[in-house]
Amino acid sequence: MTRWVICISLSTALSGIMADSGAIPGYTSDAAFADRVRKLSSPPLATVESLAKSEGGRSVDLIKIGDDAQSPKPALLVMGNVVAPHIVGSEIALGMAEWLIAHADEEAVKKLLEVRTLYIIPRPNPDGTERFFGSPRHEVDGNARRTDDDRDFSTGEDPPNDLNGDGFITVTRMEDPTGEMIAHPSDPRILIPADSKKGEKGLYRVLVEGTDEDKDRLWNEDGAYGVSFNRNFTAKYPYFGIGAGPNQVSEIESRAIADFCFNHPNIAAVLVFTPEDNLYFPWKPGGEEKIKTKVQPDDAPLQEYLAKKYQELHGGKEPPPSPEGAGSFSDWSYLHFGRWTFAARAWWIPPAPKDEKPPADDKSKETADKSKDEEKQKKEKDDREALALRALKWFEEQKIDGFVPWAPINHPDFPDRKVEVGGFKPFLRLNPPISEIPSLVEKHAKFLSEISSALPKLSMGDMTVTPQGGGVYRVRINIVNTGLLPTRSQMGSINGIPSPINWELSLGGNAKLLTGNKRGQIAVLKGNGGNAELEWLILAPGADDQKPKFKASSPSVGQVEHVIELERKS
Amino acid sequence: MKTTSTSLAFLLLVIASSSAAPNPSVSEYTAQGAPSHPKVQVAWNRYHRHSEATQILKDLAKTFPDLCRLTSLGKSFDGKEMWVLTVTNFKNGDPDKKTGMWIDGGIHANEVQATEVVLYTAWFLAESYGKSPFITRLLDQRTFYLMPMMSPDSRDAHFDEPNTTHSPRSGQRPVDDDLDGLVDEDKPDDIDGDGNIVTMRRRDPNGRYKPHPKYPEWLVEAEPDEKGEYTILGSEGIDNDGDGKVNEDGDGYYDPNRDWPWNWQPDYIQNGAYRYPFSILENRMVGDFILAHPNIAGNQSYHNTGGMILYGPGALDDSFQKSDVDLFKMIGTRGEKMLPGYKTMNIAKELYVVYGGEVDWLYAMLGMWPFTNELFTPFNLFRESKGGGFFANAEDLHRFDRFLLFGDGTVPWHEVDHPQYGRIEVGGFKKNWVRQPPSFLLEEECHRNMAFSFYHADQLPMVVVDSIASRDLGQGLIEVTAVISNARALPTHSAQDSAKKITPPDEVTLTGKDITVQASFWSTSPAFTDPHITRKNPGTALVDNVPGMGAVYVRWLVKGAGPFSVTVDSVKGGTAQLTK
Repeated sequence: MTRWVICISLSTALSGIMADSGAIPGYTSDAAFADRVRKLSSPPLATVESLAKSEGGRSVDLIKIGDDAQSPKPALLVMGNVVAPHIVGSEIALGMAEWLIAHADEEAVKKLLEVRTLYIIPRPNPDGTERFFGSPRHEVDGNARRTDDDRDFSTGEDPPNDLNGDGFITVTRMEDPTGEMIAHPSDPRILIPADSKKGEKGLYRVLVEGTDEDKDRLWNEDGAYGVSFNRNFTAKYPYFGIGAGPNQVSEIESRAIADFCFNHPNIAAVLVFTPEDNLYFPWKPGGEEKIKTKVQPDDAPLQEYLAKKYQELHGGKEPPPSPEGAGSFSDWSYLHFGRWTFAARAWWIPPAPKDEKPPADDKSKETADKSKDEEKQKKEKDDREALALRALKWFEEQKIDGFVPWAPINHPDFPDRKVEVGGFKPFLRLNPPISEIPSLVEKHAKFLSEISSALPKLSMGDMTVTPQGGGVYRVRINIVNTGLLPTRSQMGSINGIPSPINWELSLGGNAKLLTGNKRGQIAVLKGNGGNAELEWLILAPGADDQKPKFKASSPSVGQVEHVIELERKS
Repeated sequence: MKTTSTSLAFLLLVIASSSAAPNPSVSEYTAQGAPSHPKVQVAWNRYHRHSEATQILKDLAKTFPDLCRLTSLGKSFDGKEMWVLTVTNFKNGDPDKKTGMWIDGGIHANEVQATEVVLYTAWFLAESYGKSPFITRLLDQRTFYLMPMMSPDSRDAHFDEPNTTHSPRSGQRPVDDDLDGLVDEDKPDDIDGDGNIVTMRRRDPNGRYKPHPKYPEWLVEAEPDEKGEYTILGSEGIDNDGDGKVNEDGDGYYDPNRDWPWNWQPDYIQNGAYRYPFSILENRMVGDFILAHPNIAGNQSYHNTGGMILYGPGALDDSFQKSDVDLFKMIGTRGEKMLPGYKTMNIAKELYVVYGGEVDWLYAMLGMWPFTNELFTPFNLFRESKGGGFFANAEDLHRFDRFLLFGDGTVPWHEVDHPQYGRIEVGGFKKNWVRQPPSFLLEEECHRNMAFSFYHADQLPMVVVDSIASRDLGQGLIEVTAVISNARALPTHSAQDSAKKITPPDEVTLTGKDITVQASFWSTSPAFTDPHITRKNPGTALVDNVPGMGAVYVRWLVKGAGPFSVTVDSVKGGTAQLTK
């Protein structure tokens, strides 16, 4: 039921900007974004396609990079901000498309596009994303569907209100006997729950900024925020949850994208930008549950290997924890679509730089020292809400005006009480300054190449043709996966959604099979040399000019072809 | 109208005489049951393809314009209309405000008689209005939404294409079932061209099967110490794509009744699930219609076979609210009396596990009262109880075929040329026998199941304003108390509905000339021991639920004088009014 009600801010230097330039200057809104997408159309290298038109009349766009008119290639799918306020995902995804197209002539990119097609859906929920540019700024997810968020049979009857008129929905605090919050001992701007074990007594009652429009003594409980794309998918679906929609895949956007995926069996792996990070927090493998909710044991180390590659490329430290998904795209993509899935938060407010220490030879010792050091620090200062403290510090360093200082207002619902408005401004803790985007784009474009080079690859192994006499030949062939990853994930083998390997033997002339079949399937070939052997007896009188052709393929893996020489000419 | 295409002469006679005008000078002796002089002539001892069923629905809508309206929810994958016939007294109240009963059939299209039961229900309701006091009252008070063909494409496929009694269960969307890159490339093949997919066998001195001594059409296993005569080669078909498998990729395969949102699970858990809930277009149309009609409270779906009155949940790890299950059981138990040989059963515990079934969605996400009946019970063959099971045992099926169908239920074994196996034999049950009642049991099946659905529809909630009393409290303040009852067994909100806040509360409104309502509250007790005070707009008390065969008590504090009118507006329990 987590809604993205995390709040953030703007530097004073930038606060004079026009309202439509967004919560952080430089981010691209609706029409301008669509323009940037359309500019990328440059067939045959890149094409742009609209998958659907949202309720708000905005296009859900797909950018396809790589010429696969001849034969479809295994594809990588990149999903932008599946959580609408996490707009950094949108900018990186579009930026990657632009970067790849701009660098299409460079060796590394050329190599990538020779073997892969890229599908990039930079802004899956365009209506919800527009809130970043709306007024007042309010960090919530959801599309344009009007929803009854508190299930009280009226819709949107009590949205938040910008009480102090500063253009941001933050929070109010009021001294109240029922209050459960206190000011943080380390920084009184931040409120934390009183801990009775520490002898603390609650002081403030905290509400989202706004009035009780419907006089039900509940504040801002229904803003009709719509359906969250990232809570509308079938895996671990949160029935009756806020933002979950009437049922799974109920929305224009989610249905169009799910159908796109099912209609493109060549998708081999998925990179999705979302706060549910499995690259710094690799999924923990699950047990023997029948309905799978966890990464499968054979897949976990491979996902983890690529996660490590990602961390090396990214270089970020101490990321915020990854929230649990419910109906999320990344869970669906792995558990129900069966694809390798990489979920990237991509950016977070970095920790304060540590004091420079002499480099230690022993890495494990260094880690031990570090954790000891951290423990010591913990004892000294109260680090509850450490991420909020980190954010305030970082805002100061960066000269970002990210926090609305507590200031009294007249709250119409509490006329005789001292009520203050304050708190983090929306969006600024979830998304970086625009200047950070180019390096994030390049890192993630490089990560795509890492994923690509780990994907399975089919090739022919040892094969023998043994003439048995009388025009009878025993043919044995071996097909090998020389890639790092198996030809489909263990989850994909379980759910049966990615294709197995299909093979076909075409005989020429009057040759015919004495044993075996012309067509067949190989469920999976393990990575790093996983192989399968096939054997036939073929009757081929006058074999000289008869060359049976063998072909094996899977849309998400690729194909291999081989002509079998029944009589080797010396 | 094709009403006389039956081959049974005596039925022709009945239809001919019933359609003649009665002789007024002779008092007529009519059989109990169906209307004896229907305006729309239908033979209820035969099966109707989509076009014929469409004609029946159109005739009903044309003949009974005040009782029947025909709408299409859209076109199926193959472009067939998705008909819904709304049956109610359109002259009495807004049809979409009256308590609704949704009845559907044929989501598994091979289960053909499901459609006939729904068609018969429509016909019977329309023809009986004004003649049967019970039906007249039902149509004055209730609205029936009838969808006879949930999977219309496959209904015609079952009729027109080679099939067994078990196919096609899926729809007609092309699907690459085996993910080999080819779509529907290896369907069953009707080698002898008779429209039935039967069994292939080869005469084989080393085979392990032999004809049954009493019923030679039935192939049984030879004793371990006995020589057999035949080898079974499987279902009639050819390996069309050379992969060594026969008939592995035909119609579908997705199961339209594994496509509903509650407890949906993908195919590896729930065989037949398609992409995601409502990824089958026909179902989505139905889902949208039902969502747009919150007055629908009860649901009946028809399937075959086995003689079961089924209620959810479909999954073992799921549970329905206890008080709701008690009511499902109560209604089901009444049904068992109307449907000899039928048993009331829970799907998950007593049948098998179903994730994403239609009934689960209707109950768990919409708070309705759905049943699924598995039509045609083995009991009906010889009116003997032989325990559970979907189908009668093979011996009974063959015996019934010989003595009552005179052998017409079976394709006798005969030789054919098979492109891969050479000279073989094919034979076995025809596609119109095993799951479906024969002509003379079909009409009975229709009537008895319809009767059960009427009992269910009649037990749906019905709000009544029992009484209004007023008392002067002095200082110009009057206390008005109304008793709001529910005259039927089912509550206005199922326990699931209340728990998940699905249906709005029942609105009880006080009006009167020049009155001002100062405050109001309601209670489940006449002593108002648990008062619920109205927060907004005190004229209208919002009542969570009016229990089955029970009442709630509503009180207003009013300035002004009577007479007072009390109106109840319940989404699922209808409307009622009283002035005093």
